[in-house]
Amino acid sequence: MTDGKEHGDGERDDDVVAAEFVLGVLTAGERADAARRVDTDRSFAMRVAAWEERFSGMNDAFGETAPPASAWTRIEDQLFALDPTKKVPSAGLWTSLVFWRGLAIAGFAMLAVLAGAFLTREAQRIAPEPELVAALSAADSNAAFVALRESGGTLRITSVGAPPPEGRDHELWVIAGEDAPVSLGLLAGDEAVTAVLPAGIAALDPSQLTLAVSLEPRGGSPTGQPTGPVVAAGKLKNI
Amino acid sequence: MTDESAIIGDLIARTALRDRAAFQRLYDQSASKLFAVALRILKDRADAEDALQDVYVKIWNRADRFAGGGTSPMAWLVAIARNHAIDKLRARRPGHSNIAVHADLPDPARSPEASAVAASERDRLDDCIGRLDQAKADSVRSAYMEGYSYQELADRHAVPLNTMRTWLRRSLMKLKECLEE
Repeated sequence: MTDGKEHGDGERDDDVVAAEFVLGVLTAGERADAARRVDTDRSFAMRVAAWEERFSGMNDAFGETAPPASAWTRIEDQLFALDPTKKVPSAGLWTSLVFWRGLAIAGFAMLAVLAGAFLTREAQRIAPEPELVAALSAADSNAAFVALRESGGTLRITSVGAPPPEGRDHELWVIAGEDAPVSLGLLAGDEAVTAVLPAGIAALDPSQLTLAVSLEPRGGSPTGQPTGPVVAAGKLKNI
Repeated sequence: MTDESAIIGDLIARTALRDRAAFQRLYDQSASKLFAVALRILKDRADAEDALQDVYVKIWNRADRFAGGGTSPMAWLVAIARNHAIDKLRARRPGHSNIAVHADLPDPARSPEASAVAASERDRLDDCIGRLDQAKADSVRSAYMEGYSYQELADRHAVPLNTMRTWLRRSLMKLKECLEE
């Protein structure tokens, strides 16, 4: 071993495997192992991403070839065949009640665990007692939040999960029924923040409201609507 | 980030939000590139069409993973297509002949706009690959473009498998050094 001078051999070996995986020279078995590591080992995944970027200079050489028109239909059929709204361009996730209900149920399972510490901490501070609480989370996301609704239209929300990546911000949204999301502002790291619901929304039945947190460029969404992925969502519940 | 890249990135983010209209636009903007990738590696139209379908199902399902990645949006999409096509290639029985089919493949069109976008990266990579010995440079290029395995590269260059492995590993580390200069 003469090449392991700067880094440990393990790191160098990892980088070689990442390069071989991206280049495509490995056997089926070796590729399956590497693909599993990409999903479970963040530093390996970053090495793979770096090699993808390095080799991307060759991507132009593939040129472009239009697929047959039937290709899109097949994709739509496979993904959306069971859905009655198939092929209707939708406004997306933000108006999908089914999606929100699913998230709310998933979020509620975490509620007891997450809310406990926060409630204890906040209970002395808040009077009168908070009336509603929401646990915000999503599958495939390490971000999680707990929100309390105080009497009136004030929300207290705090992070109980991972912070946003460097250079990005978490933005809080409220969605009333099937309306477009309304921004309630940026969340500030570990600090609990207070957000005020617009009067029209505060007056609604809380069961119609969904809270969601999206990942946005620093300083928040440039468009006034969410532009990044939803990292957490949930509904207010009585406690 | 170029405008085109920013648009693709935005469409991926909206796809992660389960926005089907955005997903369809993402398909419209990228399918010709990803189909060309699948066709080049699989060298069979029917296989490439199947692969394209699987690739976009993956993109729909994995769009949320893009958020934290440091990869450019188009490079990320191409990586999904290449990985899938190479996996399919490896899963084929040995001896699958595709030379005749290859002869029928149309010449893929180059999009001048897309070419201009990656010009500096492309030139830099070209330059660094060009500094390797001819045989090694060919191995790197053909592995990436055609999806050749170590064994196929060894056969093509008539060297033992382990020799090819050593060659290529050294070449990859040289390439990395050169690109980081």
